[in-house]
Amino acid sequence: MKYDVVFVGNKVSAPDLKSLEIPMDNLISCKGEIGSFFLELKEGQDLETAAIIVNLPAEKELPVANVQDFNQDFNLEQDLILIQDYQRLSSADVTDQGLKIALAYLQQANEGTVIYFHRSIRFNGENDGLFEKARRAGVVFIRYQVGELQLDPQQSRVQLNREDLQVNLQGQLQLASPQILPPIPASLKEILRLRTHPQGYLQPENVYLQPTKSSRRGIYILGISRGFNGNTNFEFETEYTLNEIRAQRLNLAKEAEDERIVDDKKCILCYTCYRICPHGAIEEEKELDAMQILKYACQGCNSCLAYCPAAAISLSETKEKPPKEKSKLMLVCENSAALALARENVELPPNIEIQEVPCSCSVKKEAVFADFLQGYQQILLLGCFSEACRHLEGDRRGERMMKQVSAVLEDLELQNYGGKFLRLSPRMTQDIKVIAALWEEGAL
Amino acid sequence: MIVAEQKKVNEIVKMLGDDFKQLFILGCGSCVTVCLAGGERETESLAMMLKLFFEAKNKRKSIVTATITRQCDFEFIDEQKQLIEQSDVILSLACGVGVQYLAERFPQKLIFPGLNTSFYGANLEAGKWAERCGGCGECVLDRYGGVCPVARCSKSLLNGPCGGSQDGQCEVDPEIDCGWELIYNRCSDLKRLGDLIAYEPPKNWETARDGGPRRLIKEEYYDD
Repeated sequence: MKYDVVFVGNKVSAPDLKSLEIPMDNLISCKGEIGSFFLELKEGQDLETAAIIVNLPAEKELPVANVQDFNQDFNLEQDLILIQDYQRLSSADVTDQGLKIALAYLQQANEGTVIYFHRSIRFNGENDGLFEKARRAGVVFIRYQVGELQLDPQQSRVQLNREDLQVNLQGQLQLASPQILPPIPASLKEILRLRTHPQGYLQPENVYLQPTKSSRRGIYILGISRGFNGNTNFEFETEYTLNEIRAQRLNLAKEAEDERIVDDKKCILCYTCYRICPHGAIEEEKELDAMQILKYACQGCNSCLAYCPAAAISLSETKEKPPKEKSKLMLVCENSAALALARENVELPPNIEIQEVPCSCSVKKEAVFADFLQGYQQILLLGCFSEACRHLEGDRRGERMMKQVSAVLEDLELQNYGGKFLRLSPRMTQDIKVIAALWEEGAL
Repeated sequence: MIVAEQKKVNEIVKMLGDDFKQLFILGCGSCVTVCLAGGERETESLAMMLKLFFEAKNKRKSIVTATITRQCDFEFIDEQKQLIEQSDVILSLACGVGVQYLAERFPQKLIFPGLNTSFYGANLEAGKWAERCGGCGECVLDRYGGVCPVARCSKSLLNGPCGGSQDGQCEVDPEIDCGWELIYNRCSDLKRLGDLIAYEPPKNWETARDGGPRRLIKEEYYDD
């Protein structure tokens, strides 16, 4: 039996999908790709599923003992003091909760004041309206910075020492617990083979992974394990994710147009491609004794081609390179600079040749030297701006590769040649124009 | 696995000199491919760099390349006989074993090393290796919780740490974990601290490099 979706952690309701919930500690390995993941479990049978949703509960913990968490269980006889963002910024859904509590209190209490301490009011959904309503209803919002607020839960007191404002208040205290990182064991990241956020969340910050995608196609991250704002639009994100899974059940399409082929006679099973593939799209094929590229998981970045030390991976079709007559070669990523160039019809100086690459990470060191040998003297690789690399770390890989090229050129005292990497900002077209002009002047 | 790294390209250029017409760069398809130092990719990459260098300096040199399965087995080496004999200089991108074995098979040829052979190590993650075995010839891992005092302790101490262990780090280099701290912790986790109480007599280092170049003969292959 094959499931449509397996939930690691908590299940969400999706009656039309064949689903199963498994505790995260139960998972031993996850092989395969979107449409057909094979999960090995500690207890029970191994199973096959088309998609995986990780939905781990957030740990709630108040940073100060003897204070109440945000809730509607207030005492109408006392003023209400709400404190949001005591040490760590909370997500927008905490603001949502806080505003609703403040309004509910004012609605029920004949008299009484609500003081709302915050570091940041964060907006989502109807928070905008709620904030406006709360202000009109008379909620007093006071902003503070870390270190300016002191809580004394025993005396139900709050003291604010802001440069322009000192207040000492007494009332019933409610402190919003930040949504703390769920306990994500390192083993889960390894088992699912996900690229993660530096702070340990399961979703790296990248525009291509919005809202709930992970670095591996077909594995989705819901809730707080997604990251800082994971709980903010939980319902919307759940719906989006389930719809993705439904759509892919009907029609699962490949993302990479061309195909990458591993030559099983050349592959030495060094696992370099497996380790560097940003999308978890490479696996060992035991029968062939070689690695294989999973066709639905592959996103076509070509980093496996660039990194394979045995030169065992190739494209099914290779494009003929045009003859080189120019002195400068600009390598542009098809996901950023190439789009900008095409969209805005940028005119570049005539001696600059443009060559499109699938990702900065796909450019091989040896190919750069081959291009020098073909006659180019200056090669510039333009990478995507940070957190917008479709292949998550292609820009950094391209940057490191070009650094190596420059070091070799310097070691060999080949001053007439130059290799450089530059990262574009979100204003790509402008950047390219400026870069091309500076390059022309020799001022790069 | 044997872990090696490529020499700097200017060092290689200096070593090769100018007195040759054809250079043959020979990669090795085993350990040094896995450790990203001397496989087909690195061989082609180095060839490109050297071609560019000689062309830029207006020197006419022919550079040919090949990568064989192993340079420590003569059958694979011999497959390259023709190219080796045609070339004036051979640059081996194998560990020191391969370089020397090539020289032994082709005594008339000038064989240069393109790599620095580093250690026997494990792959920690892409592009990162660490030493795990000292090749001492008589394994003692059973008595040390599976952590090698020869390879993991900078001083190869067999009866406990020296005084230079600080917060789990070695005095030789704070980046190095103290081997003895690792041994102690592992034995403690395995509830086998008793293993460490027994006195370990001085090790017979004859089985290691100290006994001179080592040989190994598998008896079932030979008569006495």
